[in-house]
Amino acid sequence: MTEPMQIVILEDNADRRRVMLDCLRDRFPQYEVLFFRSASEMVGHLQRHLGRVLAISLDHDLEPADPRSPEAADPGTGRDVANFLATRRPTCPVVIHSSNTFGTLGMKDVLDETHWPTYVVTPFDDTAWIAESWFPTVRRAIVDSIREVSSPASVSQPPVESPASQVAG
Amino acid sequence: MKPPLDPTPYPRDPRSTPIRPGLPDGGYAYAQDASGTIYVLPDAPHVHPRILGGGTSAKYAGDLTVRDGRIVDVTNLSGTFQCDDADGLLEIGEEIRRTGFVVDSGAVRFFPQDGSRPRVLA
Repeated sequence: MTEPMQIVILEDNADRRRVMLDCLRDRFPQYEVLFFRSASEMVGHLQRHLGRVLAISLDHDLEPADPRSPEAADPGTGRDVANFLATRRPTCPVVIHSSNTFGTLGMKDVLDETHWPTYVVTPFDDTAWIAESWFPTVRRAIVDSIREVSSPASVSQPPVESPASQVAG
Repeated sequence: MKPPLDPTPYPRDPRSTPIRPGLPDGGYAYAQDASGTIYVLPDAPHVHPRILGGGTSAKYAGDLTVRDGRIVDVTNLSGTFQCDDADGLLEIGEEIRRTGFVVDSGAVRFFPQDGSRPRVLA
């Protein structure tokens, strides 16, 4: 039994997650869709399962699960995930979906430098951008990536350097 | 023939048209009817059941992209019909070529329904 490939998304907003999931289930029902609220959780998953990931989508700014709680864990940012990916050989496309211009540029730069295929989507009009812009971009990223990185060998190569040294920062 | 997973008899979208060269660039969802004609509709969420309409079954379905007047990708991606036949997708590519459309080499891309890695067919 083949384990299905995954579409992995860093997104903390429940409304956005609902619309994203609706779009993906309509066109990519055979793949697992995984959402993460924090960068550290997502990096932990990618450390174990990057070879099964078909596409990644990253928000930049994340809110703590309970922002009123002073003990709420820092969820990090999408940059933390981009920094982790930069320690690995590119295996799938990365869509950056963030309203934070400087955060987006930083993530794109670090991923471009390490040759990850990147796509940028700028949110607009509440969640309307998800169906109008984000989903077509994710679809294009996935379909285009088949030619770019479809070889199983390309996902089993060793990391460029130790991922642990890059994650903490 | 594959019945739509959503059996709601949505009306056929009036923009649904047989595929033909000259379609404007963009993304399209497609469905092939019982006679073999491939109908397309500008892509949007949950659009597949509205291509043929009326809860009609499809011989095959997926989506495609027209760029610079050529088909640059054609797939079996459809949550509504979930076609899982690689040979059927190759036939779709050939049928599109028979209409006079240029289908780029490497454009036919198959997504297995078991969730395994997609692959280029032709």
